[in-house]
Amino acid sequence: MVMSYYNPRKWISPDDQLIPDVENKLITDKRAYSVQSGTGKSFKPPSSIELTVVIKETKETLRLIEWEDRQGKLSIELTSIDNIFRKGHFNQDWHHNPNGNNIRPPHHIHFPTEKYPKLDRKPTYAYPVESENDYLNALSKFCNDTNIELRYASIPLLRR
Amino acid sequence: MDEKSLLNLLSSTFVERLVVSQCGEGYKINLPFADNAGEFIEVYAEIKGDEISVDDLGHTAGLLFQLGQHGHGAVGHEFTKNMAEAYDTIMDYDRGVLFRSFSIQEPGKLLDFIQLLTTLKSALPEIRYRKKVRKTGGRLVTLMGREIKQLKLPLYVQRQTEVEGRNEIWTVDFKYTVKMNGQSTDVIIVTADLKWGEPREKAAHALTLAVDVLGLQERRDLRIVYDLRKNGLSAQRAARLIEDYQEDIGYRAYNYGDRDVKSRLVTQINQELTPYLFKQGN
Repeated sequence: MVMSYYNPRKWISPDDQLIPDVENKLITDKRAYSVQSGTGKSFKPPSSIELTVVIKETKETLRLIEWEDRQGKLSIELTSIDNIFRKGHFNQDWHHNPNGNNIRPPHHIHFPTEKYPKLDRKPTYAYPVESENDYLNALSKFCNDTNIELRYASIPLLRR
Repeated sequence: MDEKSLLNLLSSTFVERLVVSQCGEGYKINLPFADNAGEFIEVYAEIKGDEISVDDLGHTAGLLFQLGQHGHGAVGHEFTKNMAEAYDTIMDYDRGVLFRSFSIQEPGKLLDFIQLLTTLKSALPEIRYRKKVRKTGGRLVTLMGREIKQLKLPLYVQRQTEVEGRNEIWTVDFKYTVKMNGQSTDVIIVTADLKWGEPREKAAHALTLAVDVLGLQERRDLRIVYDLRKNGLSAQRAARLIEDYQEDIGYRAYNYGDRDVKSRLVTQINQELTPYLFKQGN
């Protein structure tokens, strides 16, 4: 049963299409779990969180990360070993889609298509999202659009 | 185009793309260089008296985290550390920023910092981070431990642990407890490495262990795992011994060399142990 998923099809050109393998993984039910972090010294933003997302049906694991820079810009990514499935940008600037549509600030989520599959290379498509500006609401919105259950994850910031 | 025209073109290109805006108590400088995702690289600068402090707004730490290279010993982390040292810049692990301070009389140091940031933002995403190469082959128990990460849970899975039988104490490869129908059951996994040594002795050992371990009135789910692919005749006969007696003795046999059987076993272990892989939320 699909609990929630946002289909961004309407934001792309008619001659392009979503990537079925990616979208199928996003549609299917997934649960996020906290990752037991290592004890070694690491250089990462203080407001960062890493979760492991397990696809319930296949047990395949994905990586979900969120971090905030010093200006309050939030980034959220859902990735497999070699692909970025979705990339959320919250509290950020305009985004310009390859088909000429401009996505107004402050929040949008990038998604891959057959013509623009790499989310770490411009240009990419994105769709606008409505969300509060804060860390947890952004995460919650992102998970809502990608069908990820968050309640199994222990997120210390949730208790703030 | 003469020298002067080229210089003018370069200057205007740099200057047009260079943007400085107020940001908190300081200024944000948008450099005329973009990162891999096409975003202009930013520097934060704060001027107090005769001193300028600059930092990277946490973008390098964010990039390392995004690449999974933030940990001590990771190639990306080490590269950043070396570069920071070379450019006299501090890696602030608490705040997750790269920063340095210098006198307003030394603007060259601002250029050094810009050079450091543009190098890191350009190079880090392009480094081909090699995944750890895993050795293949080896003992069956090692292979299982390597391939089924759930079996590495130290708090839940005991490795090479002792199990009491009716007459003997036996060392088994993996042992963990699951709840089945509200009751706790010990899952015991024993490997019979038919590729090495005397296959029939391995099978005989596994069968004797099974009889003795299952001879106690405990709730136990004993799984004997062997690996049969293109082994010799003696290995095949040993495998048949393990397969044939499972119903009579009450254990379950799995051929790790058979892809479907292996997948069934891995799925079962995953289902039993995956919830323990992560800290559960409250």
